[in-house]
Amino acid sequence: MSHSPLFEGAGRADYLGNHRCPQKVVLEPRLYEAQVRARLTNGEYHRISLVGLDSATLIGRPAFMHEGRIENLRTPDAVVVDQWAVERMGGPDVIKVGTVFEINDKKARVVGIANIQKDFQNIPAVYSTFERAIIYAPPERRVLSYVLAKAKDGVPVEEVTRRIREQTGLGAFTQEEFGWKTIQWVLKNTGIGINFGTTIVLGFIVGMAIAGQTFYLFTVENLKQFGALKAMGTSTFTLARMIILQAFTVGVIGYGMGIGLATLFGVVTASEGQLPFVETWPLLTLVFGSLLAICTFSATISIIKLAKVEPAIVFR
Amino acid sequence: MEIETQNESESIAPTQAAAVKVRGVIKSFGTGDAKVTVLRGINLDVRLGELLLLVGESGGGKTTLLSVIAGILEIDEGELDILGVPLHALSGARKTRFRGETMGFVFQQFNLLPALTAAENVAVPLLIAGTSRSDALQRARTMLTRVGLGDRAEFLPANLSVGQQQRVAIARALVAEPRLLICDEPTAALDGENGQKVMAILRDVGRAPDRAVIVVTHDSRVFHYGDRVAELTDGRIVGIHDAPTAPLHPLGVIGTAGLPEARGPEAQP
Repeated sequence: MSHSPLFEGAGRADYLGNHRCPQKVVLEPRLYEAQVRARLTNGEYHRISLVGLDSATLIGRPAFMHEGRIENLRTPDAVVVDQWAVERMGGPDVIKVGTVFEINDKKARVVGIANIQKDFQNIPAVYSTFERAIIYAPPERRVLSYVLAKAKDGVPVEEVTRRIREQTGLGAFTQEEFGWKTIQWVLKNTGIGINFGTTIVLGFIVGMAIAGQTFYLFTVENLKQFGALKAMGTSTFTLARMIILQAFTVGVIGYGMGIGLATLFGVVTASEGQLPFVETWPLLTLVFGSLLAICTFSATISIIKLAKVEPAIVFR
Repeated sequence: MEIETQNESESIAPTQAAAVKVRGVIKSFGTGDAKVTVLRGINLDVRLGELLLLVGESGGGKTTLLSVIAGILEIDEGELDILGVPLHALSGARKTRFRGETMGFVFQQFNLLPALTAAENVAVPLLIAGTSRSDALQRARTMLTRVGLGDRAEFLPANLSVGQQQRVAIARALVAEPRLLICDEPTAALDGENGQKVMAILRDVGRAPDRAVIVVTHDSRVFHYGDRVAELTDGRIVGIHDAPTAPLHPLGVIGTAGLPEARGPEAQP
């Protein structure tokens, strides 16, 4: 196999099992994840998400530790649990540093408690090393399912992932690709896609109906004023522009308030370790586009009403 | 028929001494069996420098005639010259423009915009005409001072008495210096004292040699503010009287009893 100029560094073929390893790979930390059952000493079983970290680098470790040190994972039988495990598996009196429980009949000893963000599946996370995780979990023939690739500056990462796929037969993704793949998996394989989608569609329809009706009622309630303006020489075109200006001004103010409150809610929620919060430009643009659609609808039905107003109503 | 010789955006300059000439105007509403003819061949002149009172029983066609003169309602037959312009021949857009340039309106219910201050309400016709906001507000404040409300310019309509609201409406009608002022029962919502104040202002406007004022009213207490009184019944002008020189019915008796004898609908200037 010829050495590719795209990869640099010492190869660690042992991590890749039976697969061929590209030479000069910068880093190959492994990460293991499986859902297994934990048995407490009181006899209770709990479903947990077992995460096996690369023992050398501990890449993939929790960002914050509430208690203990993550490096203690390198001690025998050590595991670190997250705060949700504490909450769901019996509380701080049951799950604390020093607690011992079993995973697949094998001993696990809590050496630390981590603060992590809750994910959609909301299953308690238990961290271990990669080597111990594959002992805890039921045996599988292959323990490597994909490679997450990053390239040096100036090197096309897509080319790197393509070569990894070609040379190893493994799935290889960039960070962005893997992020989208995860999102797509969640949307496709969990109820989140349907539930969130339904909520968004309902919100859009209800928003359009309420905004449209409110604006329409405003127009109807002020028909005499509009009629008076028409009588005084204001053209329907000018009144239509007034309506459009009002609708979009109110809409943009509402957009600012809504996005501001949503951002505040998201930031506060994320800071408290609840669900992660991401606000992307495409999302903001999509919401703004939806808002413009609602404003256009609201203004249109009002303008239709306004165009039919006879200024003679002011004399009745 | 539409006048095609003038561009839609051009102003239509009044050229004639008479303010309003109504000739053989017929106006109906509805069709078939439901058709109701409200104006049945109206002939009426309104002179420049005159305040004409239009009186008559309810349903007689006063408001319809007012709307027709304002160019708000289309006529079925007849001719309508306003300040020398054949209004019946103009397109809708040009009528709207003409109305904005030459007419002012005072409505029975004032129709002030509740979210705007008195000054901003008065400035509306100027803003419609394209005057800058600062100039419009300056002229609006001046006009409010002329109607005795200079110290109320920044008040919202809700914080003004009904009499003050009607004076704001009059200031709004006058601020663009219209040559024809059309008033629909301007004293109907006012008590006697405020009604007299409002009519005094309108009389002063009507005395300007290049202006005319038409006032629809039921209130015989204010007949003496007019120059002539046109009586409209069942869609026809049944009499044109000289206005009385003194208050006719101190208690506000409705009707034309006590007016000088009519000179007949054909007695035109």
